[in-house]
Amino acid sequence: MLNMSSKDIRGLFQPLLVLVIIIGASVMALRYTDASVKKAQQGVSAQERLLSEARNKVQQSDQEKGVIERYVEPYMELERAGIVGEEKRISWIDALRAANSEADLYGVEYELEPQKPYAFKSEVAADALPIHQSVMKLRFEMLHENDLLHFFQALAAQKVGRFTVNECKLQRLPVNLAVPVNQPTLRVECEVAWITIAGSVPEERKS
Amino acid sequence: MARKLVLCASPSHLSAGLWTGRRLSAVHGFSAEQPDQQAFATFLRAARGVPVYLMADTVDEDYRFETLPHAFGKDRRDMLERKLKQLYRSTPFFGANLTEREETKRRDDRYLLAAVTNPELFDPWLRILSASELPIAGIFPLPLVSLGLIKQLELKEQNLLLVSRHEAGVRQTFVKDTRFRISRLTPLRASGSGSPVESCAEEVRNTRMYLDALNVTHVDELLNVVILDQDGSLAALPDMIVQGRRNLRAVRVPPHELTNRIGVETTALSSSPDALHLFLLGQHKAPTLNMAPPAITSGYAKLQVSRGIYALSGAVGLLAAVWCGLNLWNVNGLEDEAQQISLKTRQEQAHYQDLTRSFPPSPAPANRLQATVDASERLAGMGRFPDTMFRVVSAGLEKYPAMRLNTLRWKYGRSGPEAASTAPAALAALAQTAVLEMELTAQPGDFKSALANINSFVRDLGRSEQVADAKVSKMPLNLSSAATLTGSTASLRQEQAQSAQFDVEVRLKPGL
Repeated sequence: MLNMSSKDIRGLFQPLLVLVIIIGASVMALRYTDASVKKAQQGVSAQERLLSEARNKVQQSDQEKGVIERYVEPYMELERAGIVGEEKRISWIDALRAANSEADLYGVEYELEPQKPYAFKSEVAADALPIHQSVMKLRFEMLHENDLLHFFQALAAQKVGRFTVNECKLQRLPVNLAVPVNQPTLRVECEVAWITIAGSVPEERKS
Repeated sequence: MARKLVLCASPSHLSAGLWTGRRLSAVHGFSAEQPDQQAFATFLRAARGVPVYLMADTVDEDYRFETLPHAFGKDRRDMLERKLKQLYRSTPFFGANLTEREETKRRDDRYLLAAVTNPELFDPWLRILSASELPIAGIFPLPLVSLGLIKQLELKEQNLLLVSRHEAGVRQTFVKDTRFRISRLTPLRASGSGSPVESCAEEVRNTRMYLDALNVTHVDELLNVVILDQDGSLAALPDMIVQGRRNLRAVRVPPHELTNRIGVETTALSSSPDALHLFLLGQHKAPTLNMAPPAITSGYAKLQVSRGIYALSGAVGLLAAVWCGLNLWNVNGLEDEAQQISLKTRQEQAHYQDLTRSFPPSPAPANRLQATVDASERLAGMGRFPDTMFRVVSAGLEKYPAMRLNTLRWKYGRSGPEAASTAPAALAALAQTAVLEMELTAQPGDFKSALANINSFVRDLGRSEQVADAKVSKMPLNLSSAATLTGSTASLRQEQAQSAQFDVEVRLKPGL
């Protein structure tokens, strides 16, 4: 049986302090080295992943070559058509003028909104691709509803980019018998989305 | 091994030596006189922090065997304490040790009880030790310390009498079947008729008769006397002991043999008659029978706890160091492995770069090329103009010349129940929808005919192959029971036709 006085117990402060310091230092050292092991394991996993990717690329190089041979020309065609790469807003405006002229409209008012992500990306099944849209609101008047189709066909024929028509509102104008015959009978407001796919950046080309 | 300060205290003398782990330093002797006590205090200053093992060698001692009921733990401690206090009321220096368990039915425990009956023996020494603040491990009976010799000298005889000469006199310890039985100390006084050796021989012979008288030995049994001759002064003792005695056999262990078999150095042996037992006290684990009261050994208890905590600290530190070492070794191995994999990756990448030299020049990676072209084709197929809706509405209006289309709101996108559902957007099909704002010229008050025409128009629209759904979203009259209906019958007399406004919603089938 241990029989110690309070003085003796107070004398144990130093060994207890040493014990606490050693336990604290040990815990810190263990946590640090455990974290190092975990980090090293993650490093090995990352390297293994990179190696696997590199081997896959080597194994699929023939296939990759075939894909490039097949798709490079259509891709460059898309670049030339303004579908891939930067937006060509000037070309779009020019195309609007040309389409207006070809469809014999009375002039088209336009309002082009800032670029934003394409709204129907999931329908295109290309979530990984950076597809953008710039919504253009059009306001014009026309004589007959078929002029609307002529206008959009003429705009598409300019080949300055890819667009889809989101919505159109055709409103009959009041008949005024006092005005000449070839005056507009319909007021049209349409919303068109100009769609572009961002081109490849240098980092992607390296990979 | 730890250092120990080993002491042997007798009424008039104290021998002190420092056990350094393997050897005993020169033994110093101190008398009970004041100058020697001061010298002892000075000696202790050199042994700061070293635990003290004190051995009692005095005639004021008592040994007895007691048989007590078998008990454990606190019960045993309490029982022994009661027994010891009952037997030794005048001294705080007592102790007990369980020697064996009896073979009888009750299987009682047999204890050796020991005490120093004259507590004043230790007073001067304990006072000095207390002042020096050295931790006292215990006070042990000298005969029990000498039991360590039995194994070292391979003494297997049944009846054994260990005889040794000390500062306090001649110590005779009787051991039966390697177990301590009796011990006695006889101060050596050279009598007028004989030498100290002769009186020593006489004492041994008397002890033999005493043992027979106690029935510890039988008169016909052979008693083996082992003489521990530390300084070579007892060379003649064996012959003197056995002279004329057939039941006695004496063997002398000379100093050089003690040195060879025990390990105690000759210089230590020659420095003090207590040197051999001081050596044994240092060399062996202390006897379990400790006569020191707890108040004296509290310092040593603190030392033990302190050492235990330091040992625990060391063990924790060592364990952590080993664990950390293993972790670092593991990290090193993993880093090597990662480097090797990285090297292989670079080799594969270099190989791939070689292969890509034969590729045609490309503005984008192959997968990007394919994904872009495929997505562009899908985008091209997705676009719709409102021509189909125009045809459907025109065809519907042909049969109803009284109806007029004022406004058409066309929309292409996610619509209908799919768009409103919680299904993912990818599953919601894109479809064309239109809201037609129309008017019908009708005869005044002929609401039934007008409503029938509208419903017929909507039904005709709905029958079209391209139409998924057609419905009236706004009627000229709200006939709902929940709404208020107002008007005037006075208008019935007017013959002029009236215009009725209504809206129709048309949704084409997805994919058109």
